[in-house]
Amino acid sequence: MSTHTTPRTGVLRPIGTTAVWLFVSFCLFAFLFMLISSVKSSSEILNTPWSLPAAPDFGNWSRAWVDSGFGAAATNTLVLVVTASVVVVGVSAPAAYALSRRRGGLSAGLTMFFALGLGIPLQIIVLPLYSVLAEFGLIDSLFGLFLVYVATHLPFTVFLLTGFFRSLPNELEEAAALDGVSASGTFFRIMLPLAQGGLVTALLLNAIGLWNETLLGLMFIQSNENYTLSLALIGFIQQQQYNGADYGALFAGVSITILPMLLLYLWLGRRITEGLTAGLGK
Amino acid sequence: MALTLDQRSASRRESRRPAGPRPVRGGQSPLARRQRRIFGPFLAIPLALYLVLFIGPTLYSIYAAFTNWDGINTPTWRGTDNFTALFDDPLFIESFWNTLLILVVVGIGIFVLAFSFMLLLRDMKGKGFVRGVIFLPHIVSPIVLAIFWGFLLRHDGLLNALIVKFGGEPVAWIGPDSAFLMIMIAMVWISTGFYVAILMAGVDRIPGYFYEDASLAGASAWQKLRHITLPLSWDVIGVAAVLWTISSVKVFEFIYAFGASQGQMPPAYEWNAAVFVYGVTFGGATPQYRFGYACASALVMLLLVTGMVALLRRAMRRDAVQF
Amino acid sequence: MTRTGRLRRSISFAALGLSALLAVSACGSPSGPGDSAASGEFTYWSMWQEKEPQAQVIKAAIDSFTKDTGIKVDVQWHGREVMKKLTPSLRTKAAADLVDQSMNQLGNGLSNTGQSADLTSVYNLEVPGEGKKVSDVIPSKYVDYLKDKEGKPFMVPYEVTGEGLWFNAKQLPTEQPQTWDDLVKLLDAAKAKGVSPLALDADNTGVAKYWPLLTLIRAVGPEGMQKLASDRTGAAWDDPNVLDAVTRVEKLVKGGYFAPGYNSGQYPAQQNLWAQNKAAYILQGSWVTSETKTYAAQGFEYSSVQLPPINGGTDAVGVNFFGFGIPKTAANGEAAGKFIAYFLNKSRLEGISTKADNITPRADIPAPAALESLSKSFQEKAVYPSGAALGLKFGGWESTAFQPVAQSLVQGKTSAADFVSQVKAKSIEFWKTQG
Repeated sequence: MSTHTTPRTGVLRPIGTTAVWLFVSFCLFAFLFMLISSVKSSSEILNTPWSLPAAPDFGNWSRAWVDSGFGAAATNTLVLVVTASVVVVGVSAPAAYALSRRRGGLSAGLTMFFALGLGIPLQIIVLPLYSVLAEFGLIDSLFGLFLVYVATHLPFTVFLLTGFFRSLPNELEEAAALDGVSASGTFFRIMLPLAQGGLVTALLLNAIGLWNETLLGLMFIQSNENYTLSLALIGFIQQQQYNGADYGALFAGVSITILPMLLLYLWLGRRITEGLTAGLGK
Repeated sequence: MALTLDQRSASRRESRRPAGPRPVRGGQSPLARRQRRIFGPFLAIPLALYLVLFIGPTLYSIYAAFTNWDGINTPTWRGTDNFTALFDDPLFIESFWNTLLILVVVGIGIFVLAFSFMLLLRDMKGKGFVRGVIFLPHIVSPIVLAIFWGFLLRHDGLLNALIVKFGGEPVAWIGPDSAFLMIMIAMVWISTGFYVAILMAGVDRIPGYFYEDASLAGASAWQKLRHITLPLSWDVIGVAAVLWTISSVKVFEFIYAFGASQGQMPPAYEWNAAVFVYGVTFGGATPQYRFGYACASALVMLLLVTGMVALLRRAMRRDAVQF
Repeated sequence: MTRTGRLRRSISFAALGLSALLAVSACGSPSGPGDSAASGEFTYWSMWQEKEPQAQVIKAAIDSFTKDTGIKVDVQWHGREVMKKLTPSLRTKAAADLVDQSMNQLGNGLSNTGQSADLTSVYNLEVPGEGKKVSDVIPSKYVDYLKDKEGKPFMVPYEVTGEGLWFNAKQLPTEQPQTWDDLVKLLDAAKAKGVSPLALDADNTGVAKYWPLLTLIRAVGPEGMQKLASDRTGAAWDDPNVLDAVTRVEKLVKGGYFAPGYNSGQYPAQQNLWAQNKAAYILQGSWVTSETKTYAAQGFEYSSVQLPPINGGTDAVGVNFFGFGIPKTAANGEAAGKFIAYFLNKSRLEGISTKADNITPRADIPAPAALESLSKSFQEKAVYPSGAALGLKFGGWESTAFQPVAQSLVQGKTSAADFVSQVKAKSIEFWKTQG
């Protein structure tokens, strides 16, 4: 490769910058389209997809919220997502710390063992998993789904946090050890506060993933009162088979599922990148 | 034992070397010994959950891959027949290739884009905003994105409405030849933001004075990329590549929601391995319940991923640059 | 050594704690249906969502059933994925005592896996208030298709559907074409008027296969189609009749008879287009009437004809069913059976026609206006199980060897000759791997 490429980058940059802004506009457009379509009538959505609604129709929202059970599903999802992501981070953090602070075959092996779970497609474990849950009477129980969520999100969380703890210096621990602080004391009082950035990132990524999780919910939740948002959305889409589609309400349902994540992201989005920096950096 | 903020940040600044207990000759440092003691208790709960609810079912599925199993009745041993059948099955072959296409072609697409974005964003106005917005698709359910993608590209969709408005002819964006390509483009769109975030995470850690020094020494942009950015973010690139390899094989919801209609499976030319698993078990108007067969296909994909990850790690292995 | 010992101890301790946790929660949560030995209640899992018209009709019947018999019904409106959710529980104790879905879904999920209760006893029940048995109100020509290999029925239908060539009778009155040439004339006439002759959502794998499949059945008959599917040597595909039938479909594809965008749209765009009078005909299941209802042009009058027989082949009508099944392991199957008989009472089943706009299996309930034409065909002509029951008997073959090639044919990617040779080759492959 030539090293005399300096002038070329001068031309490339404006093109690249334009491309970046086009990409950004497209992302914004996608969200705007869905939100605006949620207050349009079905025929408006089909016939004049680019226009604003003649008059905003909030009936879509009430049909989705009440008739299709998005309201009840939203509560279930909220409770489930908050508890599961807190617990998965809560149990992963000590594990990740322990793994990051020890060398040798056992530790490396266990780290790999957890990472292995990243590669296993969930479709394949759902049936045997069903038997396990049924054994304990945990089918169609939000608690059962909670446990499954924690277990299936362990690999990524442990993976991320192990990287994160590795990036933290260990001088403090050595100092604490000299002071006679126990290892668990060191972890809880010194390392956890230091790791805050990584924990928040892990929490957010898990929350996002769980909020949108579909497959496991579909398999293990049965009664309508236990529905999560993605299940409500799926059920809604399927209605168009045999009984026709209600596009307006569909986009209202879509908006109900994306808005909370959007708000969460606006509030804490920066923290995701901050934590990734350290967690994947090493 | 309360440490002041001062001390904390001080020690953070000073210790730039990789952490982990220092290797101690012969015996163990008191710290290592203490940390050894918490190893078991700290790992017990996650390990138990993981074993019971994840690894156990996986092992059963591996066993089931060698059986005839309808998901309900007791599996009957079938040896390796499922595997030979798989490679005679045109649907699996197609799904397998499509999976590879997503892995490799989409992977390259994402990385070229994410890498260029990263370079551009490093000193661009509104960089935080851009970074935030392009991450957005990642926070939304793939089902929702598939609905949007369909509205955008279908014959009577947004894009064609625009083309027709300006006097053009509608384009067959999602015809049999192009539908999978459109799915791949969507994958690039959805994932780029996430990988930009990861790559930026690596680049942000490179101290600014490296670049300043290089500029003073008259280095070109290319030279800075070649000698500073690339080597110093190599670790992160490796991690990102591994993450993509793993998640590309699991792509399911988007394709299913994009291609399936009326309770039917998506057209065969849109299948990937994850869709295949669903298609031969629960999917479609006439579900097949071939779980042993599905497990075999998943096992093949698991081996593929493992192989790819091993290969990647080998290829990406370099002397990590400490800084 | 002590280290791993401690680790092992910690793990087993945690595992113990975990199982204790699980056990406790299991006691706390309400357990599955049918724990009570008495048949005073049963659980029904529905393929409908609560607000759908069929659900409303069934719900009304459930309310009065409970009032009349004291049997309580626990309903879950699961929607279309109902069988998927039920499957894992089938072996030990079915989570539902009563479930409904299509013939193919119940057949594959319950009957083919040996998990269906023998519904002979339900067919022998008296329909409350009518002095007739269930078997008296459901035509036996239908029940024949809903039996397993040993001849035991696995399903009681409450809704009958079928495929047809649908059109707007107001705009385009159409007589039943007697020959394929008649059919092409109809299409040409539409073309001459500047209307696209045919709508087709070719991305929908279920709909895309209709043209090749139904045309083949017209030429070789439903039994002939099953023979094609199950021929391990593939020799049946060499019948010149087969190529002839497929060539007719190819000509429609190549001749530009399908509406613009049929190949690059997303279901249900084309059927909505058709309902707007922008295409003349659509080959679809009878549900196209309910699915397009809210999008149809003003004064749209749904009507249908059947594809004409080819080379003296069959003119029988394909018929499909939605109805109830009872899992073998259901704890309260008896109570569920009582409800089936109860629901089939004319006054209750009527709602499927009057409120949910579908044909019922009972001959004494008039079909809704939109489906009158199809209902007449059911009564006047011979019937055969929809799609020659391929989905039920040779589902793996259909989805692997037939369906993708059929879709490719109507998308114009595969010629008639290639279609025949490809399906033949894939059939041989497929049957080779089916040990």
